[in-house]
This record gives sequence, structure tokens and C-alpha cells, in this order.
Amino acid sequence: MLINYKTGKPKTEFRVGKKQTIMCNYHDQFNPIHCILPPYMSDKLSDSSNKKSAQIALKNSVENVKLRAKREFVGGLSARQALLLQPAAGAKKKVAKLNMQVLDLKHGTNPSTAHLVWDNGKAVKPLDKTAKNVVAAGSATWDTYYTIFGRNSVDNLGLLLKHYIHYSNKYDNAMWDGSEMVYGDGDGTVFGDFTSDPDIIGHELTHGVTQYESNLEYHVQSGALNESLSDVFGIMVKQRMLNQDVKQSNWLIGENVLIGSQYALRSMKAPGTAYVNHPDLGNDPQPATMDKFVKLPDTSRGDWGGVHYNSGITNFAFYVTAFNMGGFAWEKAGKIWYNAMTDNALKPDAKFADFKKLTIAHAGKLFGAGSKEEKAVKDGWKAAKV
Amino acid sequence: MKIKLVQSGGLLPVTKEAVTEVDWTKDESEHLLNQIAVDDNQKSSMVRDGIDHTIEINNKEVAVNLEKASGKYAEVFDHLKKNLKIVKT
Repeated sequence: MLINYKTGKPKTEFRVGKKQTIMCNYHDQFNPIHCILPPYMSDKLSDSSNKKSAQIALKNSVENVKLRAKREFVGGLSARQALLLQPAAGAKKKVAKLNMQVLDLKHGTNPSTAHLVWDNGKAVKPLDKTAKNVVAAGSATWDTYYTIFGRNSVDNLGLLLKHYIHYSNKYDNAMWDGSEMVYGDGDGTVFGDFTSDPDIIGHELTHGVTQYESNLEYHVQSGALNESLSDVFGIMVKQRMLNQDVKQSNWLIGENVLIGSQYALRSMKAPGTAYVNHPDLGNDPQPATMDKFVKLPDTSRGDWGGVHYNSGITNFAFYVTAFNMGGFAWEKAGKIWYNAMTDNALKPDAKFADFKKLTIAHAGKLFGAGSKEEKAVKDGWKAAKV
Repeated sequence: MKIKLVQSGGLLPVTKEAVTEVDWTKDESEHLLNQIAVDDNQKSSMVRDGIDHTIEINNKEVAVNLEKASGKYAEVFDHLKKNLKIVKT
């Protein structure tokens, strides 16, 4: 473990883009141990000679064990049993609060030079359009996870969500760097501001949720499933913000990010049609069904085995499922997908078929074996030929 | 000699390339590549939708961290980054 020689406190390394930075040096108001720490580091900290570090690490570990045990127990209950466990009406319930910051990099890449512009509900500086986009969609993402799925932040422990805006110059991307969200402004020709679609912000935050749950490996099928989960929860954030049901939604991801009213990054309803004859990008290569699975090299240039290509297949399965159920996607299909995504049985190297089994099982648990919801899930996967 | 910068990856996976002529010696370019090359241990496995850079020089292709370059080399890479063009697939 790295130790800051001045303070004697541990450092956490992370990377933004290609820059290696010791982020926790800049968390003046926080103990660095509250930053994202992998279990092996927590274990080391628990044994640390620094009493305060060890106490915090142990407390975090205890909370993690409690949460996992609770999830395992609750996951095994029937819908009726789960209902009986809910607190009685009128009982005092501990309410979690959004813990989020927006920081402006002003076209730099070093997080230590970023300016805090919004801090937990308060604008520290005047907000530009990009900052407002992130405040709105970042808050909506947290609220969707908390209100609908009962999850407090990406780690379910209220982790501070940090959004870095205006990354580099004309940066054509948004990403989850392992602990924070980073957004570029786009080149202004092919790509617009990467904060201009709430589904993109929901997408990036969901990468954090996946990291803390199954940590699906970012290669081939498990990687495509990782990408698809981000699209699934990203679209639900957008639909909820717009109060759209499954029929009203256009099911497009990044419809503003890709410049041109006829273009979007991805279509969950009709993968492979998000952009056609685009002057720079050509045609959307996403397949909708398993028989069209795209085989690409497991390299950066091969999109790690086509993780952003083949996500179209599982996206389509979710779309068909949600559409056949009707209503708002987050009411039924979203809950089934969330329970499957957070099921301990979902392994890092999971394949589409593994996730299919879990969603069918959770549909049965939530709505009953043989229910129309369970049938809708089966039909969704059948349509995607998984 | 010719040097090509290749950028790949991203939320929408796109490959971009830019080429320029440099007057570096072979030894100089080898030394530079050793300094800015990214080895697997340095790669963060938790980045999602990330962008990567590769340099093609002297018939070699090396994954690099452009932030590690300084001085005249950083200027060349900045120029290349500004002139990246999408490779249609």
C-alpha cells in the first residue's frame, strides 16, 4: 500500500484517462479510507498500526458483511415473506441522502486542479449547462436507485458520487474511471456534450454499481452484459425523469450526444439502427439477437471482444420484456433486472445465458412462478435468441 | 520517420488515427517508447468506457500513456491528438 510520507495516511491510486493521480491527497474533508478501497486493501488497513485507519476499515468491513448477509437472506424469501419483513406503517425509517459533488476540470485532466461547483444540493459557483445537466441526471440516478431499488449510492453505503465535467479539450467520451465519473464536451462536430443525455449519466454511474456487485469482467459476453446493464438502468433514469412509460419512450441511448436528430449512440428497441449512413461513423453495428453475435479481438481496438456491440442483444431482451409488461419499465422489469444484477450468484465471468436464468428466477420470486411477468422475461430472452 | 497515433475505445467505440513526420533518431524513439509505454500492471482494470492510445513507429505498435511524454514529444502528441480522424469501419 502507498503511504503519503507527509501525513502518514494511505494513498489510493486511480487513473483519469491516462493520468496517474493520487486522488485521496485532495480529499481534505474526508478520511482517505472512506474512498473506494478494494477488499485486499481494507484487510491490510484493518491490520494497520494506525488505530484510526484500522477502526474505520473494520467498521466498513462489518457493514459490508452485514449487507451481503442481508442480501443473501432477503434474496431467498418469497414476495409475501419479504412483505412481512417491511416496517409497519408509521414506523420511523432512516432516510439516506444524496451525497454528490460536481467538479469542473476547465479542460484540464488533473483532478487536483478541478473546481468544486456543486456540493450536495448547493451551487458553490454559478452552474453552466453542463453542470446543470449533471446535477439533474446525477441526482435522478441516485434517486432511482434509492427510491425504486432501495440502494444508497453505487456501493449501497452512501459513497460520495463525484462528477468531473469539461475533461480535456473536445474530449469525445464519458467514462467511469473506477471511482468517479468523467465527462468530455465532445468535438462539436460528431459528438456533443457527453452530459446532454441523462441516460449517459445513469449509464456511467451504473458501471459503479456493477463494480461493487458482480464486477462483471470487461471482456466479450460478461463485458457486453456489463455494458447492457448500464444502458438498461441509464434508460430507466431517463424514462423516470421524463415520466415515460415503455410505449412513450424512444429507447435511445445518447440521442443528443451523437450530433444529428436522426442519430443516437444505441437503440435498445432496434439495435443496429441508432445511426445509419452516418458520414463519419457509417452504420450502427449492434446485433439484436444471439445468432448475430459479433466476434472481435479482446483488445481496445476490438472493443474488448465487442462489449459495446453485443450489449445490443441483452438490451433487446430487456426492451421486449419491459414492453410486454407495460407501464413504467422500473416497476417490474427494472426490479427483476436489479435483483438479478445484485444476486451473489452472478459471477464476474457470467454469460448471457447465466443472466437469463437469474432474471427468470427473480421474476418467479417477485411475481410468482408461471406469472405473466415470468413469461414476459422468457419471451424477452427468446426474442433476443439467448 | 513516420509516427502514427491510434486512439481506440470509448462509450461509442471509435478508432481514430493521425500521422506525422518526425526527425527523431531510432535510438531516441526507442528511448521515448520505453518511457511512455503502458504495461499491463499499470492498466486500471476498473475503467469502463475508457479510451486508449497506441503509437506505431519503426514497425512497432506500443500502447502508451501520452501524459508521460514531455517537452518536444508532448508537443508532437498534442498536435497528433488535435488531428485525429475517425477510421470508418
